[in-house]
Amino acid sequence: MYLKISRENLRKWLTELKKGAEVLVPEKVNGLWTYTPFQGQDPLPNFLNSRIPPKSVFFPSMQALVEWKSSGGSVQLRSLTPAAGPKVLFGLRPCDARGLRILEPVFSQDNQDIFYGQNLSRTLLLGVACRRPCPGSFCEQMGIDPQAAKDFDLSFREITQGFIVKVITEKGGKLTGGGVFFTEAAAKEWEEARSEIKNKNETLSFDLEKVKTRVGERFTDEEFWMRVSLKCLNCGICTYLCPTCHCFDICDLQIPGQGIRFRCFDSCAFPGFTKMAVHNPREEKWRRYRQRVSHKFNFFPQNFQNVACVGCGRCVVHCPVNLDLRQVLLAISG
Amino acid sequence: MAEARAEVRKEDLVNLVQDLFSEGRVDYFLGYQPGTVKFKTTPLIIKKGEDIQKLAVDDYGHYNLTFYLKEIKGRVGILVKGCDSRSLLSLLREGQIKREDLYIVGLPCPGQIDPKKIAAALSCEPEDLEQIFRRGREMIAKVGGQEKTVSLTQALLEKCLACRYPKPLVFDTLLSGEYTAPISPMKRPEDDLRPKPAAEKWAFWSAQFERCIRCYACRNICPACFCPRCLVEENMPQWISPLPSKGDNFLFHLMRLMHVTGTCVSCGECERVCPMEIPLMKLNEKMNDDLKELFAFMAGVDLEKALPFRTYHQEDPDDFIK
Repeated sequence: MYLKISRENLRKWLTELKKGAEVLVPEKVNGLWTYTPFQGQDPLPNFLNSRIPPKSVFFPSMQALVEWKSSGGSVQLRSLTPAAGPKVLFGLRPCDARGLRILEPVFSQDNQDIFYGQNLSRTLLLGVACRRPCPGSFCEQMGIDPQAAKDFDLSFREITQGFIVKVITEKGGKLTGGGVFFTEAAAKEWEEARSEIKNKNETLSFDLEKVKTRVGERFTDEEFWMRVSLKCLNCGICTYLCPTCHCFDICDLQIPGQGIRFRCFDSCAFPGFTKMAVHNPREEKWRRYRQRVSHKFNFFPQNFQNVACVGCGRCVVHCPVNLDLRQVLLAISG
Repeated sequence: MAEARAEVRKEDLVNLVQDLFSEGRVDYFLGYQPGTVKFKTTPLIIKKGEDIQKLAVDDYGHYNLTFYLKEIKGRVGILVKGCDSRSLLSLLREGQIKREDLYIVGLPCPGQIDPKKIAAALSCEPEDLEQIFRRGREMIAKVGGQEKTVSLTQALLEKCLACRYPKPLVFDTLLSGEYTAPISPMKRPEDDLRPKPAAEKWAFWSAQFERCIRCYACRNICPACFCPRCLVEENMPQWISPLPSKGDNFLFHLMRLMHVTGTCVSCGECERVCPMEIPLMKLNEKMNDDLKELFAFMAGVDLEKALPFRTYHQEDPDDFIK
């Protein structure tokens, strides 16, 4: 089913939704784009993508899991539960929505993580097609259509007068209500609303299938990993800004008599990530860089069938030394 | 229109570095090559004389390459702008590097371009900038197919506007070119936070540090952060929790600030790489101003002056210990 909505009605509709749900929209705060509670502003300004991927809405950098209190020799444990109530995320990009789906089996396959699962199931994903490529992005090479995604509940495409909307899921359809804000549209209008993304970077094109088969063969080529990781800083930007990186640490905050156990982001780029009592298997930088690339393009596909990269380009443009993953993938595939 | 500055000739640099390797004077050379995204340069670490032809110098060589000296040991050739050379002096003074291990190549710098500042001056996003180029002593940015002129003050990195050391203070050779500041050095605009009451400053920094994601890019890119073991990674005892909470973030940044004061040369790299756009230089500049005022000290400008936090005199005041 296809619908149509004007920019003004979109604003009114989101205002209406806000009465019963938490509504997040893109906004620039302190110089960077993020998703913040909707306050009636233009819901889609000149926005490319958020600096921190929306995975943080579902898998935050700090998540309280358990709290305890002790008194008189006894300890009371209390499991903490994820927040409830409907949530609407508007302005999501196809790459990031794919990232959320890629992470689903990580948090549900063997053990059910109630936090990720419930956060995702209570949130409606309202995605918007991209009109311009993000710098450093290579989403199409990762098999993502920047103009559409089946991972959304509702998929929006901008046109001059507003948006054409494709209803993807039933709960998405329900959200559009009874024709107050939306009018019906034809499939043809949806097709016509597709915009061409220009300025593709051809010189850094790689063959993903070759990457997937060759990254494993490259594993033992130590000289290769040393060469490609030479300028790496060992900072956590590429992992913390990645929509699919999900490594975490567990740590406690405690004062006498009580404490809280948290899950917080951790990064395989840090030397301490694999440090154990007597040995660190990834002491050297090249081993850590190899791990990151191999995890995304070799181990993750073995475990979950998907490559753990959506080509959003965040790691490319925000790397402090411009260590470009595309170049490394090109070198692997070549 | 004023005349453009002479550009560094690539072949001068390439020939020089080729000679350094063929004469066996260096094992590594640290320089730049063009980056893979618009308006970005990337460090080029040359090993065994490979890739010398890739060396290039452009307007986005923001890097202070001296931070690589924490990791790359041995005989190293390094390309430095005047400002970067202060880090070398500071590290020499601190005993972190040896002069005889280095071959220092000075680079004439016309000021490095900051696309974020240009975008702000033109009220657009950095991604909207299609092209940036110099025309004489002006800067032209192309947005939506239209050429727009911005002044050097609007286009260059903040540190370039206050450039007082356009010529390296320590070097083995200088590439030919003009070793003058891009504009006559301006006094840094007074930080509007400083006169404010402590509560307001506390609120400001609380909000800033709340955003910190603890990626440690600020620490890792900092030439002055040379401790082989950092307090944040110590866990027996654990001084700072890895939780990116406001309190622990605050502690991390203030600890780092105290540690680099006296070694920090205001290269601004910590602020440039911060993915959360935290204005870290406000703090560094405050500390550097205090050092100037209290100890008449400036890091990285000479090899003689006593280091404020490494020097002890019996008569030093201790009335702050209660």
